Amino acid sequence: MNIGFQGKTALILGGSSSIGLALTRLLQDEGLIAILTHASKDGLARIKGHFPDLATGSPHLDFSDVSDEALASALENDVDYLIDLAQADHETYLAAASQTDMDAYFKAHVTGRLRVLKAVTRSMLARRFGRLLHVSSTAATLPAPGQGLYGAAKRATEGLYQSFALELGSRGVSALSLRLGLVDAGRGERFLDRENRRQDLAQKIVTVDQAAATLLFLLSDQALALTCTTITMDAGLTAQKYL
Amino acid sequence: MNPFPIIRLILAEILDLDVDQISPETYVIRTLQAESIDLLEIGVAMQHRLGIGVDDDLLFLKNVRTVLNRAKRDAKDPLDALKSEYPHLSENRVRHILADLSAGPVLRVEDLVAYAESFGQAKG
Repeated sequence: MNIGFQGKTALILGGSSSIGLALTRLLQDEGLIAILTHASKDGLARIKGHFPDLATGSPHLDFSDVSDEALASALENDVDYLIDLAQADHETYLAAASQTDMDAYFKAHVTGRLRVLKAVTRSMLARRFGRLLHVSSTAATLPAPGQGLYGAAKRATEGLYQSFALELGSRGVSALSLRLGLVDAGRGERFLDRENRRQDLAQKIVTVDQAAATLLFLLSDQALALTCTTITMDAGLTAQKYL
Repeated sequence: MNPFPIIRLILAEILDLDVDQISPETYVIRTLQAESIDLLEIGVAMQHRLGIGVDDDLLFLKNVRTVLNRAKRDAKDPLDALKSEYPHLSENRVRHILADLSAGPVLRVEDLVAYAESFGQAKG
């Protein structure tokens, strides 16, 4: 099956993540332009390490401090696709979370994110096409102890994406959240190594390549009817009662 | 530069109308039947084509009744309250809005033009 893309440019929030970098390669193979945002010097260095030519144009965009200048830089080119991989981890028991952490986490991951989404969708509206793809997590509905802030922010974000799709669908903007389960990268990789669970969870791991390829398909014209909803890709991790 | 021709074109494109159907005195919601999603698109188009910052609440006079209710509660003059909230509108226009409220949504094309012009003046 050939897949097609009516848009040309993809903005990847959290572009320095393993999935973001893998997706970038796939987008380039399809002839699309990828713009990768970073939120730290380390992130920029990772982008430079994999795609030296993209590092120069990588906008600095941090949900915790979204400025007009940062938005203007990220939207310098017309963006057809937004892939939202940006999410800081902050593990704490809710009853132990500080007021500062609570305020900062939701301000960044809900309000800050919404500000970015508003700017991006207004840009898409002018051209009557846009595709928003939020990489969510099974923690949105099945958080582990300590993932209260993370899971709640993910679930709130799923709601935002659903509403964007609902409100702007008639103007060519679609949106979808993809809940990934245990990915062998980032916090998933740290969990597997820390808890020594690689062997017993081997069949429940989603690889970075699988995640990136699925995201590519979900961006394609053939997947545009997947909108206004949330789907799960977790190798069956959350389908059973006990693990 | 008079922004009216561009705004008229934007309205005609988004609402699928002939430009001749649109004058400065035309009511955007009452007559042209613009809906919320249309207003959103109109704001975005004005932002992009006129290069202005757009505050949808101000541009589309969304809070007129809220402002008047607040003025009534605080025993303030409704004319002053609206003039303060919408400095881009002339006093004559605000007086007309107050007299016109009972007939339905008051937003007219001239209000969009006034907003765009005031932005230009502020920048200049």
